[in-house]
Amino acid sequence: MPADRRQAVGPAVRLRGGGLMRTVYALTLVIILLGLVYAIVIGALGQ
Amino acid sequence: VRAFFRDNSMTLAFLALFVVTLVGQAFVGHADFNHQQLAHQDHTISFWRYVTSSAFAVDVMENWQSEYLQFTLFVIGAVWLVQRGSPESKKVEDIGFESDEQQKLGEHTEPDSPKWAKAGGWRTHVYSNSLLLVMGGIWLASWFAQLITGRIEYNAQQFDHHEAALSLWEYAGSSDFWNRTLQNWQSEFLAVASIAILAVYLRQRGSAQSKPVGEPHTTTAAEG
Repeated sequence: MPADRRQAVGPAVRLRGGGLMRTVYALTLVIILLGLVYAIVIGALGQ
Repeated sequence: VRAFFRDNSMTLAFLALFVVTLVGQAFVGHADFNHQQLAHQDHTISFWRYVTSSAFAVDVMENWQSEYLQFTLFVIGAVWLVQRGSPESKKVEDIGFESDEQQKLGEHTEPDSPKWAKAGGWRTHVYSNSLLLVMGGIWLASWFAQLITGRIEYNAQQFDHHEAALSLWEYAGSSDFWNRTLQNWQSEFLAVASIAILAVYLRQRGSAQSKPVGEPHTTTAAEG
């Protein structure tokens, strides 16, 4: 990342941590959504 | 990598526990289901058939919905409800939505404030309630999932006993649906009441859910 851009968004360490934490956040939401979709589909199919 | 796991250990540890216990539930649920089948002189089913059945899904969803209801009510209730002396509560004088200054909104936003907090208008309004909206949305979706899977499971029992099947609407008013629902709600509400008041007088050294050990009982909104 160019030095000028890094300065604009804050320290590099913070940016990396933020990106990975967003992945954990997204992963959690995806797990929840998959669980909900799974159950609703099973119920809708009358399984 | 080590820093990543340390920095996210609360989420990752509980997600891992979730996966392990869900798999455990699937195995013992399958064994229990087949025991019941044999007791009724019915045929047993495969593990895959069980985990794709409403019998399993309703057991998962009835617990999900109550947990998300608990946190949804905790999130919104904690705007107006307080427990003096509890680290789970805000201060009595802060009851309500609080000022823009306290909430770092409007002219009080900071350079690092979230984009939608700085945006103003409907985006800031939505973002100001986003935790409630998402937790409440998951609660409603999982409660609906409990309703439709619970009905399939209930009707399977009815079929076994040569009794009439219920429509979704009929099942929503049935004792089976409300028994599954309320047996989970009551425990969640007791747990919230317990943590709110027990944390006034009891401590866990080092826990974010506790006040510092030496903090007076009267201090509200202090975390250790």
